[in-house]
Amino acid sequence: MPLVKVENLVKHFPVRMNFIKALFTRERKKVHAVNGVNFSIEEGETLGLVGESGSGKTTMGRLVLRLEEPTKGRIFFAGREITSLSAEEMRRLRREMQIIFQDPLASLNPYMRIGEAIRHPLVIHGIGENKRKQREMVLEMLERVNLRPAEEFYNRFPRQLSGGQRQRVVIARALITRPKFVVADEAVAMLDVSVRSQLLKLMVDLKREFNLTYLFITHDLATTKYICNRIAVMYLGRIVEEGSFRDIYTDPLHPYTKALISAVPEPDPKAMERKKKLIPEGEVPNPIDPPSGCPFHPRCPYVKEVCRTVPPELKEYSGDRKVACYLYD
Amino acid sequence: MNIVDGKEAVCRIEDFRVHYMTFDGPVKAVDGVNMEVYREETLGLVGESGCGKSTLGSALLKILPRTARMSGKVYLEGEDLMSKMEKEMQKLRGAKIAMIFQDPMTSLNPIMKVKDHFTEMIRTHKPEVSEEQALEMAARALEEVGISESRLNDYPFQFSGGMRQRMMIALSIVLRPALVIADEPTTSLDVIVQAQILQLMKEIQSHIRSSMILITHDLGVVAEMAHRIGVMYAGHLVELAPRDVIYYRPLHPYTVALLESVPNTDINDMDLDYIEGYPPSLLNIGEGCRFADRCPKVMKLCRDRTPPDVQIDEEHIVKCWLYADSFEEDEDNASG
Repeated sequence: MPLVKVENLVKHFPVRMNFIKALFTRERKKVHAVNGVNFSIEEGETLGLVGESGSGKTTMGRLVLRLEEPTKGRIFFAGREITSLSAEEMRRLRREMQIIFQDPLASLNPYMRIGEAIRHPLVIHGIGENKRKQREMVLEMLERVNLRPAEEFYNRFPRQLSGGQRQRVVIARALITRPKFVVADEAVAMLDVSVRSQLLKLMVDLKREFNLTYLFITHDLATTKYICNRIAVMYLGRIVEEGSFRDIYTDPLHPYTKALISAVPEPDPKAMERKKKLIPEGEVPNPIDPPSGCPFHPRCPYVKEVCRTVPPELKEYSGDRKVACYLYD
Repeated sequence: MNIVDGKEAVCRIEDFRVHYMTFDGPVKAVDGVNMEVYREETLGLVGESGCGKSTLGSALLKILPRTARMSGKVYLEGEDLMSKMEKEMQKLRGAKIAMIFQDPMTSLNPIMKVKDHFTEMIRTHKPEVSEEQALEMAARALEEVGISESRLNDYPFQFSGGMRQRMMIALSIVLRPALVIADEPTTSLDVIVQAQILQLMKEIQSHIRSSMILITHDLGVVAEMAHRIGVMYAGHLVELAPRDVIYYRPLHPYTVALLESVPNTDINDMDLDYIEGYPPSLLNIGEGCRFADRCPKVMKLCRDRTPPDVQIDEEHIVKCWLYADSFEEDEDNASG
């Protein structure tokens, strides 16, 4: 049984319109952020959700935790449907499902000492019998994420920390309740190269130690290799391809995935010269008015008539590989 | 003008320093940088945040905040920029030395039409050019970057991120400057659009034959774009060499460690290395190598004295004591 499963998930956001205009238009515009997504994550697995800005990957992560209400579709956690749970039930469940955001400075209260920030979830969920016990748990966690000496870090404020240290605090706070499932939304994107790799390594180690299951959301294909078992590539609110990172890297199927892989700048000039460049023209269309049919068809070099009208379904290609493209029918 | 080893240096920077004055003392953002930019080449300047790469780029145009104190020499086509007054700098900016910023939305005026950005730029430097001629030049520059002439009447907000960056490039090259400084030009773009823009920048550069300093944190971007690469760390230029030397025969321990910590898409290379620790604060920083605290090969000498720029061969310079022994006589010191 998968730990997390979503079925046919749809999320549309209404577009704000000024009042006068709204009086005279019947049609309400909406952003098609997520357009019918299915995936499941097994316990102990890391699924990488890769896409460019506007692909709907962040909305997807928020939907799974029900920080955002889906327009349609169902979400399962540990075999239980959570789509219609009450706010109170969800609050209790969040002990087991946590999220790490991109910008640590924005997700930490600047007036709260970091020890207290990490202790806060324990207070909310009533873990640890008293303050002293909770403090011990926090110190232990600070040690674990390499913020040493822990006693000293406990009393610091976020502004006294470097970017990498702050992200360690955010990770510590997410893991203090011992969750089963963690959504990491561009968790290392804002950090410098040398620090990014430290944090990635930490996340891999913690995963093993705490037996975590990650949904790792990123725009950067190259970082997924070190942490993900499987990768799902999103484009304009749909998953266009899914498979092991090995298959996605070496033999991408969907024309969009091919483009994405060929566009990644490699820190190796010779590899860059060898690489076939399949850069499509144009940019990602506006999700307010997505193209009919396959979302990639306006930029696709292999476009056929059917692509323009009916969106292809995400179908099994072989083994654990799936692709949404008529080329493989 | 300088001719160095058969290559003509468009820009020469000598012992250049930028210190930001604060109440707590100077922040030594750029500290003793020497380098040259040759004609028609792209020099990649890479480093992590706070290494001084952007400060150096902006300093060449003298557009730093008032708290910045500059010293050293900068020559652009033989002209000494540091002795120039603001009025004279204004004449050079855009005409001889231009800048492409990371975020075009904040560097374009939101209430000015595209065509007005161009005509203002062109006619400030060339008052003899008529309005119509300027518009013609603008249309041609836009065409070069793949934007239709019809968009001259649009405002910047009507463009997508990639198109805006194209427009910024057109604007920076319309007067054919000798040196273009591109400061993280593709950092805010998605990877496919980034690839498009990099391709465009390459084409444009070979077409207008200007030199470029490409400032970026992304070692993948310079691998594709640069002829030579300078690696900066904490205000020092620690290594400067032709591209392939940096990637395949790096010498400075920081360059080596940095390259190992960059993720790539090679599935046979699954090791993720990283550099322990964080870069030092540049506030009141003293003598010594600034990488010493994180360096696996640190020696006692490294902490006491700033390493010299060691010339390995004609085109390879390393700021590190490890390589100083074969050039200086204090071998005991270096191997100790």
